[in-house]
Amino acid sequence: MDKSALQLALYEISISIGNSFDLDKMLNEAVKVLLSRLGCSGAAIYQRSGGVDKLCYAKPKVIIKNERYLQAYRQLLEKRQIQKTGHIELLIDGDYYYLFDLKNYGHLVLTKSTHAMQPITLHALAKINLKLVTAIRACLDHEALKFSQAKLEQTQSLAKIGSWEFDIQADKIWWSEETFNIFEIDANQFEASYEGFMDLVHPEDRDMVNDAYQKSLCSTEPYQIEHRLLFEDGRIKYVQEYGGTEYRDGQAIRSIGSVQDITERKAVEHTVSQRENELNTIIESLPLTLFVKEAKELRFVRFNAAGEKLLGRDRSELLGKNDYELFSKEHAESFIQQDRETLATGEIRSILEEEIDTPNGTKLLHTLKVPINDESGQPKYLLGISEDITERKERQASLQLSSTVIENLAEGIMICDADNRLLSVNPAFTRITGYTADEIFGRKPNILKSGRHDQSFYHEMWNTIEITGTWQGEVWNRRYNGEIYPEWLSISSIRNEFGEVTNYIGVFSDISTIKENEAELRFLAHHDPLTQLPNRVLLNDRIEHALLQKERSKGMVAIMYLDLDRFKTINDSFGHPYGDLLLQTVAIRLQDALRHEDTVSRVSGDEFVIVLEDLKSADEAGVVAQKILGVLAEPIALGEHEVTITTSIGIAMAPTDGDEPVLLLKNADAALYRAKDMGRNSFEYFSSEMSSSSFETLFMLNGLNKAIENSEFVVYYQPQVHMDKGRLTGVEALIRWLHPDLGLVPPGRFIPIAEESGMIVRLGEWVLRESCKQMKAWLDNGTPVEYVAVNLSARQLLDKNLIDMVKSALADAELAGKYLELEVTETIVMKEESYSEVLNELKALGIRISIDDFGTGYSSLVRLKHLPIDKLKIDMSFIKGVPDNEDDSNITQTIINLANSMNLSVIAEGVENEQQAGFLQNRGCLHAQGYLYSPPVPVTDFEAWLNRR
Amino acid sequence: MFEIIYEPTGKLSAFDESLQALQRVYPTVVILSCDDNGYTPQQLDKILQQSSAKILGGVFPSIIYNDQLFNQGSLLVGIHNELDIQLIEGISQKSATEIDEEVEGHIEGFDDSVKTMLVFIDGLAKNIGESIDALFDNYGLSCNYIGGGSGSLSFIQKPSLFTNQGLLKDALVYAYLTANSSVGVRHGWKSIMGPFEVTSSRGTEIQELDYRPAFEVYKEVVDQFSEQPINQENFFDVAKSFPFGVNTLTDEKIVRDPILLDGSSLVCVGNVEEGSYVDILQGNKDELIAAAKAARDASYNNKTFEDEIVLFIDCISRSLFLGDDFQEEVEAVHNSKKPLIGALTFGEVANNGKEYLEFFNKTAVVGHIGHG
Repeated sequence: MDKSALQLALYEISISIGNSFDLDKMLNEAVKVLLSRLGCSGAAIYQRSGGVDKLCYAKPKVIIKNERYLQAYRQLLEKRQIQKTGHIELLIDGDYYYLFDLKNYGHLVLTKSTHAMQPITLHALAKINLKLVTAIRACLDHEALKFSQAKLEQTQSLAKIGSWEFDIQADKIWWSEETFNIFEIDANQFEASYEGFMDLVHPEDRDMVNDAYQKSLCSTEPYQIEHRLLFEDGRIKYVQEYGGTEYRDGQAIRSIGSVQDITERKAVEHTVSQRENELNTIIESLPLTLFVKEAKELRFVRFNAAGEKLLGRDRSELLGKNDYELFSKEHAESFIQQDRETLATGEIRSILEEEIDTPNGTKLLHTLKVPINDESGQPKYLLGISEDITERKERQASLQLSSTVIENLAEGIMICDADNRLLSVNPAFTRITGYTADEIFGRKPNILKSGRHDQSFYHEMWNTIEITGTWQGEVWNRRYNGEIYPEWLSISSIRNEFGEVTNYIGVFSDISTIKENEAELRFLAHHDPLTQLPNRVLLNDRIEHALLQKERSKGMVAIMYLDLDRFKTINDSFGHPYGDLLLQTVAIRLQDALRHEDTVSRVSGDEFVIVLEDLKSADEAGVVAQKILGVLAEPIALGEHEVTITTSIGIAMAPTDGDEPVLLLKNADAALYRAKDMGRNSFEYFSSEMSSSSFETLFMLNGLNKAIENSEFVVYYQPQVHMDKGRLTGVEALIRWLHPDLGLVPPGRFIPIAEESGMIVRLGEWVLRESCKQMKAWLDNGTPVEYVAVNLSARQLLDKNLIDMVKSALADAELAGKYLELEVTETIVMKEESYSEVLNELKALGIRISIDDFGTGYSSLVRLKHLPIDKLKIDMSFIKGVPDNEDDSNITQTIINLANSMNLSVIAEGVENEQQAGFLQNRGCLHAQGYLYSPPVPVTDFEAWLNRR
Repeated sequence: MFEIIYEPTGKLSAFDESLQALQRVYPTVVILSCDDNGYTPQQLDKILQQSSAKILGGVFPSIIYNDQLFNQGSLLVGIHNELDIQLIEGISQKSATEIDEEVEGHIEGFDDSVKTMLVFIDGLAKNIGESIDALFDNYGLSCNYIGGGSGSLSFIQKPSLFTNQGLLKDALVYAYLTANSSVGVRHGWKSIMGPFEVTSSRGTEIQELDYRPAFEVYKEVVDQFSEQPINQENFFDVAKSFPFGVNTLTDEKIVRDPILLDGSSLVCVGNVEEGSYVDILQGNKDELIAAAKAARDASYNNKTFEDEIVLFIDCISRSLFLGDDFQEEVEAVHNSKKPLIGALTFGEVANNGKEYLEFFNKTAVVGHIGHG
C-alpha cells in the first residue's frame, strides 16, 4: 500500500473519532471511516459488563445475522489475551479477523476479507484505538453528566432556583438554565454577563445589589439579598439571592450563588398585608363602636375610632382597662355579666338597649356581643359592636304622636324623611292609593307617578317647595290597581332648628269624581250625542289639522259632504226613534268603511262630512266615495223594519278646490247639490275635470269586474334567453286586457286601479292559473320552456290565502313547483319582514323567487341575504342607459357582482339592442329579456317565434 | 439463463409485446430503456402492474447492446429465477435514518446465497449518498453491487424506474441475485493538484477547501490548466473537465463531478465528507478509454466462474466528454463473445473489489455475471 495513502487514511480515521458526545453517532462515524478507508468488510464492538460480552454495535448490520462472522468473533473473544502488538489476529476461511482491546469498555473486532492488514496499519490502529477508548469514555461521561445536569436543572426549575458562577480571574460568568429562565434571557442568543444582569435589576435596587456583592467580597462573608428585576414590558419580579466567594491565598478566585424567583411569595405577602390594612380601615371607618376584650379578665384589647368618640377618650386610655375602671359600678357589673353569659353560652347576644355614661351624657346603645374561640374551642376574645340609638329613640317617640293625629283624617297623608322616603301614611292614603303602609314604607312617593306629568312639572313643584316651603296643585297619580286618578295635593317641608329639611308632609284628596264630570262635558262639547261622531267644532279642528299635515306630506285632502237621500221620509214614516237608529247605523257603517286616520262627522240632521287625509290623487277619493255608496246601499234593519237608503256625496279637494276649511266645506256642499241634481246615489267633484277622470276610474273599475267573466283578459308571454348560447330559458307571463270597445288597454291604465280596489288579488290568481296551465301544456308537448315567471303584487303577498291559492293553481294544472317562478318587486319585498315567511313557504313548494325591478329600491343586503330568493332582475331603466351612461353601467355591474357574490342568478330586462346585450355578457350577466329577442306576445305568436328559432 | 430482447423502435406496443414474450417464460425481467421512448406512467403502469414477472430496471439517456450505443428502444432481459426485489420510495423526502430503517427492514430475506445486488436509483433524486450508505451499512460487503442512476438528460426529474408498482421516480430499487459476479471500476481521471482537505461541507456541497472558500481554491488550480478562466457563466462547461477525486486507499480516487457554483460553494453529484481529502483531476481521451478497458479486465481477471453476461454501467458525462470517441470505449469493453448490456447513467453504483460500496461519478463499471 502506498505509504502516503495509508497516512492519509489513518489521519482521516483519527480525526473521525471522538467528534461527537453521542455514542451511537460517534461510533457510527468512526466505524464508517474505518471500513471505507481500510477496506474492511465488517466492524463490531462488544461491551463487557459483568463478565459477559455483549455485541452492541455492528456494521454492516447484516453481520448480526451472519453466523460465520459471529462464530469468528466468539473465537477471538475467547482468546482475549491481547498480545504485545495490541491486537489478536485470526484467519478463518480466507477472512482475517482482528480483535482490539477497548480497555474497560470492551473490544473492537474488524474483518478484512481480501488480504491481511499490514503490521504498520495494525500498529497504528492499536494507537488509534486508545483514542477510541477515550472517546467512548467521554461519550459515557457526557451522558452521565447530561443526566445529572438535567436532574439538577429539573429540580432548579421546579424550585425556581437558578445558580451562577463568576470566575473572577477569567472574568467569565456562567448561568444555569433556570437563571436564564428567571432573567427571561434567551440562552441561545445572549451570553451570561454581569452587565446583562445589572440591566435587569430595578434601577432603584442597583446600588444595593452592587453594594451587597462588593461588601461580601471585602468581608469574605456570604451575603443574602432580596431585590427587584424590571423587565422591558414593565413587569417586576422579586428575587432572592445568596452568594459567596472562594479565596485562594487571600485572593478572590470564584463567586458562586443562587437566585430564586420569589415573586409569588411576595405577591402572597403583599396580599395578606393589604387585606389587613383594608380590614383595619373598615373597622376604623365603622360608624359603630367596636371593641374587643380578652376572655379571661375581660380587659379591652381593641377599640375603634367610633368607640373613642363615644367614650370621649383616646384609645390609649382605654386599652388594658376593664369595665370597672371605665364605667360606674352598676353599669360595669351589668356589662361584665352580659360578657360572661355570652362567653359561657358561646352564642351571639343582642342587648337591645343598654345605658352607658359618657362625657356627653348618658347614651342608649344597642349592642351585639360575639364570643370568639381559639383553635381548641376555648373562649379567647369577646367582640362587641354597639350602636348609639339615643337619637333614634327620641325621634320615634315624637313620630308616635304625629301618627295618632293623622290617623283619623279623611285626606290621604304621607310623611317622608329628608330624602323623601315614606315613613308613614294614614289609612286614608291606603284607601285612595291602594298601597298599605307596609308596602310603601321606605319608598319614594314617585311610585305613585302616572306618567302624565313631565319632568319640568315636578321640577317646578320641588323648586316651589324649596323656596316657599309649600306647594299645592292638581296631580295625576296611579293607584295600586293601575288606575290613574287626579288628586289635589299639598306638600309642606318641615325643617329643624338648623333650617335643615327633616320631613316632607303631603296631604291630598281624590278629585277623580269631579274630573270625570268635567271630561264628559268636554266630550259633549265636541261630539254629536246621538252618533258619538265629532261635531262641527271638532270637524273644523280636524280639517285644519289635515290641511297642516298635507303641507308637510305634499299629499291631498278630500272633504266629502254626505246627505242621505230622502231621510226625511223615513223619519216621518217610522218616527224619530227609528230615524235616530238609522243615523247611528249610518255612522257605524261610515266609520267601518274608512281608515282609522280619516274623520267622519255628523254636522246636522242627515248630513255627514268626511275628511280623507294623505291622498295621492283625487281619484282615490272617488274610489272611497264609490265604496261608501256601496256600503250605505246595503239594507238597514230598523227594529222589525228594513229600509234601503241612497246617498249623495260632494267632494272638494285641497289644495285644488281651496285651502280653507270654510271654503272647502262650502265647495263640497256645492258639489253635493250637483250630485243630488244629477239624480242622487252618486258623487260629484267640485271641479268638473275631476269628475270626468273619476268617471274613467269608475268605468275601468266596473269594466274590470266584468272582464274576468267575459274572458277579456289574455296572458302574453315574453321569452327570457341565455345570451351566450342563444337558448330560450323561460318566459314571463304578462296580463293584457282586450276591451271590447277600447281594444288593448295598456296595463299601466288598469293595473293601478286593480291594485287600489283590491281587484288585483283576483286578477293575479287568474294570471297564475292560466300560466300554470300553459306551462303544463308546453311540458306535455315538448316545448323547450324551462319555467314560467308570474308577477306577484303586494296585495297578493298580504293575502292569507295566497299559499293555498298557489298550491291549488299548481295542483289543478298538475304542474311541479320547479316550473314556476314568482316575481316580486324589490320595493315590496324590502318593506315587510313578514314577507320573507310567505316567500319561504312558496320556496318550500319548489317555486323560484325572483326580485323584479332590482336596483330601483333601497335594498338592505342583510335582508336580501335572509330572503329565500334565487334571482335578481335588473330593472330596465338601467339597461336603457348601458353601455353609454356611466352611472347605469356601474349600477348594472354592481347588481351583477352582488348576484354573483350571493350565488344568485341575474337577468336583465328591457334589452333592446346588441350593444346592451354585449355589455351584459362581458360583465357576466348571461340572461336577458327584451325586445331584442321578442316583445310580449300571445301564446300562438310565441310558439311561432320559437319555431322560427 | 438469460434471454435478451432488444426492442429498437421504442413503440409502446412493441415494448409490451417483448415483455409479454419474456414473462411467459421468465419469472424476472430486467429492463434498460431509453429516455427518448417517452414512456409515461399512464402508458406503462397498467402493463407493469399486471405483469406476471418480477420487474426492475431504469430509463437512461442511452443504452448499450454489445458494441452499439442506442438512444431509442429498450433492452429487456429475462432472468430464469424469481428475484427478491426491494423498493424504497420517496427518498428525497426521507432522512438518512428513515432510509436506513427502511433498508434494515429488508435484510430479513438476505442470506449467504445472495452473491450480487442489482441496484437502480433515481439519479436526479436527493439523498442518493444516504441511500447508498444505507445499503452498505446494512448489507456490507457480503455481496457485489452493480447498478446506476436513472434519469433524463433534460435534468427534469420524472418517473424513470421500472417496478411492478409502475414507472416510478424518486426511488431506490434493488434485487438480490444468487448469480456470481465480479466487478471492475475505473475512471482514468488523473490528479493535477492536491490533496486539499475538505474543511467544510454539507452533503453534496463543498464549502471550504483548506479553510478557504472552495471556489477560490478550485479556480486557482483550474485556471492554470483550462483554456479559459472559469467563472459563474462557463462553470459547467469548464468544470466537467476538472472533477474532484476523493482520496481512498484504493488505486483510484472516487470522482465527484462539480456541476453547480453556489456562491463560493461547489455542488457535486454525490456527497463529499467533511474531513476527507480531494484532488483536482483532469482526463484525456486515451486514458479514459484505457480505464474503461482496465475496468473490464479487472472484472474479467477477478472472476472465478463462468460468466454468462457482461453488464456495463458507464457515466453519461464520459460520453459527453468523449463525444464521437465514446464508441471506442464501448468497443474496448465489449471484448468478449458473451453478450453485453449496459446503460449510460447518472452516477454509478459498485463496490470496488471487496471494498467499500460507493456512488461514483464519471466512472466506468463493468460486471461479469455468471449463472446462478
